[in-house]
Amino acid sequence: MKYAVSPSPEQALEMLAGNRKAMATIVGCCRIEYSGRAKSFLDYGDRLVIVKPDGTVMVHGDTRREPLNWQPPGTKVSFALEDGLSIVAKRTSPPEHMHVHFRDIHAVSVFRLDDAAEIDLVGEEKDIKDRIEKDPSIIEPGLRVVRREVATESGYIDMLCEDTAGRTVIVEVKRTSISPSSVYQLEAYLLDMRKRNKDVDVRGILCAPRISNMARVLIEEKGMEFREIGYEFELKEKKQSSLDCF
Amino acid sequence: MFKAVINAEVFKDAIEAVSTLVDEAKFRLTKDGMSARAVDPANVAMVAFDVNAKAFDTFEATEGEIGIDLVRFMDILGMASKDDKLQLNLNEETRKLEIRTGGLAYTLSLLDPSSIRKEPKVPSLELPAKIVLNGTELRRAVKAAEKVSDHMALGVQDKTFYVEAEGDLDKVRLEIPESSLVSLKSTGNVRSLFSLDYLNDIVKSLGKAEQVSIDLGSDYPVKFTFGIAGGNGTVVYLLAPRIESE
Repeated sequence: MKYAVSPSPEQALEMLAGNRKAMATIVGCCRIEYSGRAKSFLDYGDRLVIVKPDGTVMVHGDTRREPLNWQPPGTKVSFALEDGLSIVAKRTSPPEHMHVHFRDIHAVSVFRLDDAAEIDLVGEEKDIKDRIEKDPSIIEPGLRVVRREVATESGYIDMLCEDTAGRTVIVEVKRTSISPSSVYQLEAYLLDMRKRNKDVDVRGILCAPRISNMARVLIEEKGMEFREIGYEFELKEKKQSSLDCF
Repeated sequence: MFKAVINAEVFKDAIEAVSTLVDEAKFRLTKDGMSARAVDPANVAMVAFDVNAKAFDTFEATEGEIGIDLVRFMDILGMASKDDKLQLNLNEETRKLEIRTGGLAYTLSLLDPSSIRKEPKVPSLELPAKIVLNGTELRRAVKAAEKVSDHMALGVQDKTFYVEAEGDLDKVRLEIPESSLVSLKSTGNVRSLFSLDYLNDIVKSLGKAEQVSIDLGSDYPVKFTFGIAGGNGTVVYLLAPRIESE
């Protein structure tokens, strides 16, 4: 790994141009001109620029999650000296051109990352439902799943369950978050169910990793419930071993 | 010093055996031929590559090592037509490899051998089963398994070699009895599981071989050995298994 604090543009260029297979990060005062699907100009300011060996470029400011500008893998990245360090990123389909110019570089790092680990992300709606079915106690102890994808007049119920008191429970799962429209959707299912069986006591539970404030208020007003269900990173059962184990 | 002439397709197929696993490799040259030993970044798959001077129309070399960017090398080799001759010449002063074929003349900048991942030590494994079969059979098995899962089992059961893959919904099993194989020797039943990602890469080169020798055990790496360059070269692949975690 190579690291330099306050390098001159020439030093920075040597580090970057000489290590194209490495991941580079450059922190400095830079200006970004972009033209492609749209045009944008971001005047000089302190930012972090990441250049990956596969051509990915990210420009980050010091707030928020999303980058200020970025280019995907396959972009042709070149470095040059133009009264300071310049990074030019070009693409052809669609045609895009991003020019980053540094008038001051605070730090540069280049390092080779060997990363071939596999990520096993369990995060699709179906995966969450599968998990619930396998172990309904993550919603509520003693909850039992009776059926999935039950048809009603207003659509298909994700999961029809029964609690320890024998009450019917309708569970609706969302992959990202609960919004007011999810609340109204579950409300419609509850009304359908109550219409069909006038005496039945039906509970409604919405499950997701997040819930909007508006939805939370609505849920309380309507006598429904919310359960926070997160993502899980699961290791594969049949793990890949490496040759040095033998 | 290194000067050689060889049939373009033969050479391209030979180099592919290495390029399918790693992006760059160190090649050792002696007066008798060239060789390479490389392991992928995750230390899961290894290749031992040897090509004899006899595979070449002319071959002159003094002991030395050259580092080659295989992605660029294969790009260049891809420009040659099947029946063309390839002329290779190492320019020691400039550390560039001159490649001439069908009127085209390329110079490939060589990599500093010390910057390339260290060559792996090839573990010596005594594996209980040895199966010899046609490379296309194995490639066919891998293609069949891919449609069903991301890993595949290789095994011997009661003097029958089999390949098996099981996905969430489907299952596939291919059996080849001793009578349909070139040979099968086993001291018992064996079975190991492997990632199809790697097998796919391996089978690109191995699938062209008339005879492939498979050394197999239970939950042990598999060793594939086959000839290249019309019998004037050998490739050995070693692939670590996927093991069921406790």
